[in-house]
Amino acid sequence: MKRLVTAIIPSVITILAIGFTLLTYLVPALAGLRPMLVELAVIVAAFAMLLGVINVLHVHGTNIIRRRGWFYSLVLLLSFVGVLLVALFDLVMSLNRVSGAALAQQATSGAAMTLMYQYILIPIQASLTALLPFFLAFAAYRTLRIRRTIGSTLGAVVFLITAMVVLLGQVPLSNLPPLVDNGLRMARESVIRVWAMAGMRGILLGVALGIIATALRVLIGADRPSSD
Amino acid sequence: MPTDLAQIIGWVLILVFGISIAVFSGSALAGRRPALRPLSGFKSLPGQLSQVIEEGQSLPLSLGSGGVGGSDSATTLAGLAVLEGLAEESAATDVPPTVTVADPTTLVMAQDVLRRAYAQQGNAAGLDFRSVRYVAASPLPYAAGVMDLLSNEETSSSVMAGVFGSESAFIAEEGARQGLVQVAGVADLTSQAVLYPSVNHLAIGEEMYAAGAYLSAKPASVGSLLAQDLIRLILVISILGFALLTLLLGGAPQ
Repeated sequence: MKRLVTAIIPSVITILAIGFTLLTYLVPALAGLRPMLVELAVIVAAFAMLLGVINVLHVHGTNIIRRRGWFYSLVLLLSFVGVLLVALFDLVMSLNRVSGAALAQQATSGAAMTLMYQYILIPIQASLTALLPFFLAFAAYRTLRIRRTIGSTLGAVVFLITAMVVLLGQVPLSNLPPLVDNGLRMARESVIRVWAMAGMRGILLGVALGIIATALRVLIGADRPSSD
Repeated sequence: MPTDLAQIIGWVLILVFGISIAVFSGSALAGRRPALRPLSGFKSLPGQLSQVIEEGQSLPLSLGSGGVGGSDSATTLAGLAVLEGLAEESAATDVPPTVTVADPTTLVMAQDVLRRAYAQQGNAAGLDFRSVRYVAASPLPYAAGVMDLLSNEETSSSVMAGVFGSESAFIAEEGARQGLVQVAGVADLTSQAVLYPSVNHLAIGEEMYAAGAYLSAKPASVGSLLAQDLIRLILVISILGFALLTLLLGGAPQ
């Protein structure tokens, strides 16, 4: 009985859901049912979000109690409560104006929430993104220092030369002789349009095969990620 | 039914792929285990895990920002296969990996993978579900959270397997700064490019989806890897054939 509940039923539901979704692509008449399956998945994901919130409270609450990295955990929990209060404030303020789905929308995109997104979250994320080129430049420099085997050193040298060619071909260097300037631009075009494109397509082909293989494994029941 | 030629070819390919997986999986189940092509990152993972466990530490495993139920499902499942491969030894020694996720559906799945591994060891009650952490809901805050974890966690290795974008550079950089041995398996082209200079072992493209075959050696994973190789060979021969035909005919074949 336990095996029926923990292994057989979840596997059957998974196989039926994947098979049916695949069928909606094969039989155009069934295509209208696809959004219904997607909606079901969204509802399940909403419950998972609740578990996510409980996990955050559990992990950081324990950190505070055990005094292990407690400060950032406290900041996180206070932020959590603050954002929740702001959302509730937006909700209460719009109670008399809207109802139903529009009311739920108001809780996540009300005036106060929008302000928080616009002036706190987005600037912080943009600042972090701006650091990315520096992180990459440092990582590339370290690549040359660390790689020890001949193959990896050769790879690092090719990596660095390619990066330099693409960068120099991109920036407008007006004082370069026309021959060098044109040569750099042509080299950059060749790297991007031929070499990089061929490599990218090869990798994407492999990724697509990997995705299909993973999905087919679940479809034929050879892989059961959701059951014992 | 599909009428477009490309669609028909696609369906035939999927059918051949499915049959190949079933045949190769059956063959692996019967005990015929072929030698797999070497993938340094995933081959070295069990050894790294053992070393981390011997040192009494926990292995940080980042599953990225993907979830189950959307377009990232297959890549997330491949990341979970890495966790599954590591979970058994972790459960036996009662030192679970510290798993970080950025999607609640992955949180539930990762906890379930660990629960099953602990249950197989007869120690289901011993699992601390806090070893799987929901860090943030979007990629950049997630990367910041994982960076903080890597800087505070006493460990010698770090693993990234799942859906990552350019934010993976932050995680890899923090790992490199801490001197960790880093293994990464990603499908996204941007993350592959930014991870290349920073990590010790990088699984690119379809290598990411082969992790299960190396770590758990399940017949289905081994069969699927062999089927992948077969279909890729067919595709490569087809591409070369069409290219040759195009050259000979002086234009695109009709």
